[in-house]
Amino acid sequence: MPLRLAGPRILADGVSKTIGRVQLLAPTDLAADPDCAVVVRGPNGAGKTTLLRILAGLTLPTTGTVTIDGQPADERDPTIRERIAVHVGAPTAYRDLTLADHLTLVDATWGRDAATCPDRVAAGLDDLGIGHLHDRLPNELSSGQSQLFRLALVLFRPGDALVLDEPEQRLDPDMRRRVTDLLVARREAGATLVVATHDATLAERVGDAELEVGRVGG
Amino acid sequence: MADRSTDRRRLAAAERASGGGPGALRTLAYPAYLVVLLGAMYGFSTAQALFRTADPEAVRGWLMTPVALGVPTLAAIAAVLSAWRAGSVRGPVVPPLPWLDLVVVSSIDRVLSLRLWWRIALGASLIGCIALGAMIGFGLWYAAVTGPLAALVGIGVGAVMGALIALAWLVGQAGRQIPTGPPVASRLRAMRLEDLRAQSARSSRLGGAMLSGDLRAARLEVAAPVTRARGARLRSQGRWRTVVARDVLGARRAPASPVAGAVLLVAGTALAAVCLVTPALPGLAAILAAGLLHGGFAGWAEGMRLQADNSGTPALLGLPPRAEALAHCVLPGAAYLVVAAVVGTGVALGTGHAPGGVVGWLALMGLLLVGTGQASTFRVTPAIFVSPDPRGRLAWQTVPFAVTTLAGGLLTARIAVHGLSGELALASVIVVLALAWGWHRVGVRTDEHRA
Repeated sequence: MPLRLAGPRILADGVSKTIGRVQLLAPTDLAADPDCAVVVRGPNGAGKTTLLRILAGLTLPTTGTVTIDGQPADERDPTIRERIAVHVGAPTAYRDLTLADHLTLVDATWGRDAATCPDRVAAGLDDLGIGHLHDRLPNELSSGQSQLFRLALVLFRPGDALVLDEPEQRLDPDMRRRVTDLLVARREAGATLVVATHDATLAERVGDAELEVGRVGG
Repeated sequence: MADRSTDRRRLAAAERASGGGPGALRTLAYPAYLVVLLGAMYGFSTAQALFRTADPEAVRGWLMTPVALGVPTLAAIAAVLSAWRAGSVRGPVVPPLPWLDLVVVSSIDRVLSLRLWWRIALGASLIGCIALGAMIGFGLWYAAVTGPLAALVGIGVGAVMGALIALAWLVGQAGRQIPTGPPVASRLRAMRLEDLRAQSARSSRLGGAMLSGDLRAARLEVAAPVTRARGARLRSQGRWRTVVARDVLGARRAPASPVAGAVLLVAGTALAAVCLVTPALPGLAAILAAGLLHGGFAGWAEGMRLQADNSGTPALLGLPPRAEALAHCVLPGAAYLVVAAVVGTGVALGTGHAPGGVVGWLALMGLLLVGTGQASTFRVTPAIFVSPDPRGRLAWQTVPFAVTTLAGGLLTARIAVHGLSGELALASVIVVLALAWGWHRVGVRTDEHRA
């Protein structure tokens, strides 16, 4: 039985992003509550990834604000970092560490118990079906396996909120189902989820609410 | 099968169509002119000034020792081995992809279709080595250390070395196969299209990465596959120690960089220590020592580089970025301190001096290296006044190296004359400024992506 999580309320109010004369994201509102998953949909170039980066406090919005349980979303704030696990683009990866080494490093730097670390690492990889690849280096994975490894890193670190950008990318149907099950379990455990996806099945099973991000002008 | 004259006609037609051919070989003329000009203006002046200020009598005596023969011989062997090793990553024969796909793929003899690039590489190697040999030879003669024969010997040895280095480079590219026949022609004929394409594509990517300042992409292009210590496992040992253990494991799995770093550290600390106990040595030697130390420290700082590469990606580690950056200083700092303590003490005792002052300054120098090492690794967007073209960006990225060599070298030279106690205040201020600079750049680089 997974631990009960206390996901935060994520609130975006009129956030937009413009660089120079190019608008990457039109003004957008979003509210995601604990035990709730908001699915972000929209065509390519609509600004989904930009929205997720802003929600995670990785990128400053041009207009609007984002709060996480009332605190400004800013990944420089350690409490925000601790609460939000983010999968947007390629995460931190070391070309000289194996998959198991990566999870060990993550586990240790969050101050978890060293004695039980190997068990958690094995479970973290098994959850995504890549336990048998524990001694591979990141550059020795296929593109689908790389995606599973990235998701394993994000799901392994602490966080009662998940912000995920197209977690289904490059995955076969079985693996998509497995990832969907994990996300549903995380939501049911109390986490707050914001997931951008093009997968209708994943959106339907995981999402409680849907946000359509509009096409923006270049 | 077409005969050689037919091949030549077909190749000439291809060269005319592509705008290449013998004309391309003439492109070597301008770089050669520049090398000769700059070598004569700066290289020769520097070499003769170095020999003149370093006491010609002492240099003459040193040239008679076995060390004077051993050091250049070792350097020559290292150069040939380096060229051979570089050949497997980027060899001398790397035509552009269209030439490979349209001409080399045909039945034209590959000795003919590839010879242009071999001749360019051979010519460049000969010009560079002859210029270096001439600079040293003429420098020795002009500084009245030796007679005119040194100039001729320098040119001759340079020519031989140029040919050897180019040949080793080609052999490295051709791989383990040992074809029969003439050493160059047989290797050109034995080259596989797939390997040539891979090197050509890599060369283009590498060039693009260098021009755009993306040193991470450049390093990934030349990185060797990890084959060592694959059975070793990272163990959880607490928040800080696990990050340090990560760096140690990384060094075991990819030892080429730490080994090269260790060699540079030993050479740099030895030269710096000799400068400290020999005030008569020119300041150039101390600057050279600081440059070697900068490179040696960087050889052990892979963890630092990986953190900088990953900045801007969502946080996975529980350590704050600055704490992680500090943890990544432990391995290169420890490696440097061990080498500095051993080599510094050895040089000081060997020359009849107390090791305290030598090791004391070398230890302070370690802090300077931490600061400039971080500033160098956590590269930030060039300041607004820097030209946005590749040369401007490259110059901007070399600022930390310049600071290490100038500040470290000049301080070493001053301490050699005035003693550590006499220069302690100035040295401490510079070291603190360097540390603050590195610390600042870690923060700027970490937050740079937020805009």
